[in-house]
Amino acid sequence: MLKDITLGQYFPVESPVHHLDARTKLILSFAFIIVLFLAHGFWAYVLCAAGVIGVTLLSHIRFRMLLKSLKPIAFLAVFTALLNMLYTPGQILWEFWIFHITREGLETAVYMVVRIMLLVASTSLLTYTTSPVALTDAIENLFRPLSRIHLPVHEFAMMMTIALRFIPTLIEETEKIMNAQKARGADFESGNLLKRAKALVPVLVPLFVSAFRRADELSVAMECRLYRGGSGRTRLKELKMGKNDGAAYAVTCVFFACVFVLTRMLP
Amino acid sequence: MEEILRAQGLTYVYSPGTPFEKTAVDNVNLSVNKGEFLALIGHTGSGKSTLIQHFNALLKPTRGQVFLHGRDIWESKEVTRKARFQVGLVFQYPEHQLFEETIEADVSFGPRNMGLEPEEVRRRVVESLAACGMGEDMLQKSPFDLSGGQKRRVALAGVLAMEPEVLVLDEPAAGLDPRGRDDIFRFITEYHEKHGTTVIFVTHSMEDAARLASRIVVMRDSHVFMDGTPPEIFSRAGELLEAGLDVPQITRVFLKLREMGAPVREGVYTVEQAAQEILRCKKEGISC
Amino acid sequence: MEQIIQVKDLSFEYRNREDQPDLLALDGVNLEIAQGSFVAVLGHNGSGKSTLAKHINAILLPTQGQVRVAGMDTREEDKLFDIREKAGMVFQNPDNQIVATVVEEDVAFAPENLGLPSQEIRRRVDAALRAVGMENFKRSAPHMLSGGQKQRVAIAGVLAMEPQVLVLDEPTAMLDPGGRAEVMNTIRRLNREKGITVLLITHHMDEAAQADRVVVMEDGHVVGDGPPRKIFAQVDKMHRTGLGVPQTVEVLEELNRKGCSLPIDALTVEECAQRLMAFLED
Repeated sequence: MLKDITLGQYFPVESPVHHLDARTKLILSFAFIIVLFLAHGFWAYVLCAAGVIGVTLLSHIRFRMLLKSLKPIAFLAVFTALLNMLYTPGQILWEFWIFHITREGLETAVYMVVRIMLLVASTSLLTYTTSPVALTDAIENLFRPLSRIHLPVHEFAMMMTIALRFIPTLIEETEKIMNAQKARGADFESGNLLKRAKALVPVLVPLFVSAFRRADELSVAMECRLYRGGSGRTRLKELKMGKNDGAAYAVTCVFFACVFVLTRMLP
Repeated sequence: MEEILRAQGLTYVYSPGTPFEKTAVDNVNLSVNKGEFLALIGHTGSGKSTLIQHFNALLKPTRGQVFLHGRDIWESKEVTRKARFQVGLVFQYPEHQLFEETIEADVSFGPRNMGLEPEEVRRRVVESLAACGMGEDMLQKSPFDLSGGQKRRVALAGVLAMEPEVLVLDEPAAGLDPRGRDDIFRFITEYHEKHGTTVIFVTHSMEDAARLASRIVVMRDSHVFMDGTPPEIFSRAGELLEAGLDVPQITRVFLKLREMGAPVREGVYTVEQAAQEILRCKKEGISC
Repeated sequence: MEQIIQVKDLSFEYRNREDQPDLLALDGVNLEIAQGSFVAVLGHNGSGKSTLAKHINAILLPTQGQVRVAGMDTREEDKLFDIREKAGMVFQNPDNQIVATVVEEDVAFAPENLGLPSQEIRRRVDAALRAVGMENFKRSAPHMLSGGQKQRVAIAGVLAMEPQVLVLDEPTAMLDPGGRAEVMNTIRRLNREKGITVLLITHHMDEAAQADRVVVMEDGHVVGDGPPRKIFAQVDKMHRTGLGVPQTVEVLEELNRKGCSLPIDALTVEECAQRLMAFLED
């Protein structure tokens, strides 16, 4: 069933990584992505990969779950690799008809794939170890300075929370409506694109009607629970940086320095 | 009696091969005769909703078969498509599926999908709406302006307009007030009597099952737990209660009376039966 | 006893609705509810019972008349949040009142809005979840819970405001019998053990029978008000309103119609069995 797939794929287990402040994880993940794109050379990537593997071990996430997160981008990775392999000029290793594979191309391709995989793996680690609520809070907190220039940061974060909450509900509802219309002979599987798009009307109209009804009821319920915007609101779990966060920043800085050195010394 | 629908060795597994794997229906055998009015009872998660979605080929059995008029409904694409219309399925809260601008357009969705001629579609729309207590003056109204109970009747008409031989309803009275509940069941029983349509309805209410059904099938943990006429089922009231299922309040009163030593018989499930039984005991004189 | 809710000559008219005529949903309703009582408002859809409920915490304001909650007039705008904190509201569809993706985060929503310090929020969240028996689910995702469990979470979300009154607008209408029993047991326990005043809006007579007092509504009027035993003994009247009576009452009434004379105010299976037994032994 679709509703069994938890969005954001958070795995609530006890680990040092889970206990870090969500802001720390967000900042460090972001920094890691930048470093990934600055890094270059075999050993630098080996170190980056080792970093991801290390964090995975620390966070008690099974490698199988990490590999699963890579599956959806496998096609993209292979496609980029092929493009790089075939269109990078340089020393020709192998030739067939109009295709030729160069040494440089092969190298770039491998680096590209490694880079994409590490990028996805690191962001997956972030969502695996951080609850959507904590992540939203972290985003709201980090962007709070922007509310000074009247950007609705709190409202945005609230919208994100509610969206996360209702996505499984609406997916389930879509399934129900599709089944109900199928029972009246609706056909979603055959015909050309236009016909299929038209066949979705009997699903989309009730889905929107229901989404609006839900929104309406939710807003009344929120008012009844004393919601009056972000000002004056406190949180159950205040974001708090601890010793572990300091350690995480320190270790990561050393790690980034090493990547940088390797990029320079052993390109 | 002529058999119309049969499930044989029916098994359905959700999300096979994943951590969420669940056998919702397990080796179910069930034969339904033409013209029966059958209540399907069980806890949430007992498999009844999954089972009924097999009857009109919305779900394909993991193992086992479903026969309609003796033919496997998965035999060929045409047979499957036909089964969709021969067995009309009304989902829970069917009013949530309304989507057209007018009641007429919405009710005609099914018949149009069947590829019928416009005059035939029109006839069916008018007749099925009438069967649900709505006149022709309603045709051009928007279904979204109606009250909850009326919306549900329009949705029911939308399935009746396909003129199914078997009508399957998943909790047709869920969420309705007593009046709405009486209305919807009245329309269903009247339709059943007039057209001889076979009716299968899922319910949580033992009172409704006792009052309406000619046969009750109780499901429990993906299996058929009991299958029989209301007197047969309610003579096993103790077992039902042990299984965590409800029985009509009056049946519980009689269980209590027997416990207290009164010589009343088992299997009483309506108020009329109860009053008669008490008077009979009174006349014959009690001997505790 | 102190009257925590006072409704005086309350009328409410739905006006200016698209394509629909004005509708007088409440017509001169008078009602007083004592602190700590458990009152059921029984009626059909359209009887005005939900409209009445929405007046208790100022979602709707009177067209005429007055509603007071703990002495505060609901029309006073600056009292709005105080009134809502005193009188919490639980709605029919549990899905549409749960805000967060984790149970405890959702229960924390109201105390967070009150701006309480986080230890106090934690205390209230834990207490509220314990009160509804959902403490083992505090880290669960709401959409993975059953209907009855979701509704209990919704009740906990309101309890976290520490209200004096709990208004429940058909809280069991979308639940299966198991879920209904869960919710009804929770409500009864909150009333008995925590002394919370309960106003239960319902169209199920068997739920109303569990209250201390039943208010029957029809067409915007209060047409009956009293202890359930008295209300359900008026068999003809209850049938006329289409609400019916429990089978325990109905069977006694049926016997009386056949010439017996039995007291008909039996609300539970045990009472009814005892009445019948006494009749048989007589």
